[in-house]
Amino acid sequence: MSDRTVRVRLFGGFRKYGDGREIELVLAPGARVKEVRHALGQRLAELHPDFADRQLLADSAFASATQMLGEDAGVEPGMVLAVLPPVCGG
Amino acid sequence: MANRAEMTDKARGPETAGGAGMAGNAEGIEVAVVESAIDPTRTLARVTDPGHGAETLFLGVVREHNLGRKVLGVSYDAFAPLAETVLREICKEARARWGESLKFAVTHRTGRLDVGEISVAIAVGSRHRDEAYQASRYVIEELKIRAPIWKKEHYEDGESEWLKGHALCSHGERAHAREKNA
Repeated sequence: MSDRTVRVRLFGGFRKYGDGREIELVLAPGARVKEVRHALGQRLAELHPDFADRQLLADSAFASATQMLGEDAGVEPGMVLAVLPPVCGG
Repeated sequence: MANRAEMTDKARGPETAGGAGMAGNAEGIEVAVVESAIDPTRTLARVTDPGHGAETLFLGVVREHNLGRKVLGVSYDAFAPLAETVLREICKEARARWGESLKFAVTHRTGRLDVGEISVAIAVGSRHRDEAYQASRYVIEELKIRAPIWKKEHYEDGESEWLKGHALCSHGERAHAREKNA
């Protein structure tokens, strides 16, 4: 695992990708959430040539275990994020 | 913000799902995302207070049809740690609005549920009925658009589908949007 690796936990409509739990991404130094979003789309397309959920990715938010993260939030190596599709609990 | 700690999306098992062994609801807000069946009487018991004259209990249950399709069951997915944080925030907002004496207990289920099973239980205790009804309604409406919880319906024809929902945004963006809409 690269020292620039982050992990993105998968939920809802993203569960069908990868192992259904998380995707590892290698990011450039100084990456922010917006770069995570871009890298995740690229990685999902590599893993799944028929990946067709770019709109779902665009509509999704990112978070840590404790809070939502804005597009410009910094991402540090080793960080664990979650990609959160539009919600519909209850 | 760095977050190097291991995160788990694991919902709580029955041993902590509002069981009799839990500590009292002294803070007045108790939330849980659980894997096991919800016992609504236990959820309701969490808001009991001798100073209260009203207790409401809202139950969300799995419906057998949606948009003209026969539904056999629903699978709920949740990012449990953040969902519990959000549920607690929602309850705090309701308490600030309808009274600091209000008590809340919110339990949301994950995993595969059959038709008729309880997906969410919301209990509110208050001095009088009006604030309990209003606070309960506030909690379920906010839960639906803010808590990181998702549902996948399973249909009679063998297909399954994640339901479309409400897009989340960061707290800052949400606050900004509220100010604009005020």
